[in-house]
Amino acid sequence: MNAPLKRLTYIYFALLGLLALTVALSQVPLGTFAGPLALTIAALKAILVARDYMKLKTEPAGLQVIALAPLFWVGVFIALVWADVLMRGSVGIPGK
Amino acid sequence: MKNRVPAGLLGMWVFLASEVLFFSTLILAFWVYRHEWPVEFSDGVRHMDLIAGSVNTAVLLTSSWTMALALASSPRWKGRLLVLTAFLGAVFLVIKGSEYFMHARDGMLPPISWSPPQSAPAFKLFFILYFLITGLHALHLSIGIGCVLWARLRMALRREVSETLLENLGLYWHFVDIVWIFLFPLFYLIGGHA
Repeated sequence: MNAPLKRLTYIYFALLGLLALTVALSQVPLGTFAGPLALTIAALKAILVARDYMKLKTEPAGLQVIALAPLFWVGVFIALVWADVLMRGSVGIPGK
Repeated sequence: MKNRVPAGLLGMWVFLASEVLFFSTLILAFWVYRHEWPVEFSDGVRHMDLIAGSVNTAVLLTSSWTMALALASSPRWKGRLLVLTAFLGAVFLVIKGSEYFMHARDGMLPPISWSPPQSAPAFKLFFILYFLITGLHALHLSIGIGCVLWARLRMALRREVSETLLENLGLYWHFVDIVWIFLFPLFYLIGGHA
């Protein structure tokens, strides 16, 4: 097996390892940390797939910006939705 | 020009950017409702089959590996690995389908079959979102399987299959994998088994 194929295979083993880790951790009572931990592991897996399998690592910077731009929009989206959900009812609306 | 990106590849990335926003809307809706009704949503997670979900995640990760290998391999191996990738995608759909069947049998397939073990409206909402989001993911995967087999058929018929087309197929396939990477903890892990 040549070097690029080997690397793709190592990434695959890392992905399976992270899957095993997240399933094992889901059986441990972690309380409020369970969610953030599971999502962090999911993000690590996504980074590996995007960086190595989707070859983002070796693409020109311009394409990397286009590929990662939606993360910024999703971030704005998440922030505004949670600002609304968490603050609803706690700010007085004049006339209501 | 150095660093020039083929138009087709750029188009695919812009398409995937819109897909990121599409799925993140659905996931965020699920997240907000889970925040509103944590008990019912945790109950929903406990009704998922963790083994089936874990095996399916492994199957999809393996299909991404075979897809990446296909694009990096010689023409002789490319075709075989593409077929293997499509086959693994089909295995995922069969396992997912069997889970759907079990939920329907147990009366948890709203609105067709709804006689659940607990009657809270938020529990129903969990299952509506589950079927909607995983169903849309399965639809994306089905389209991916069709496109991979179509490309393989063209190769077999000695028609032209450009490098950019294969690269785009790979990008789409890996994207569908990434969507599942996030759906798996949301529906199977968080709040359910600890």
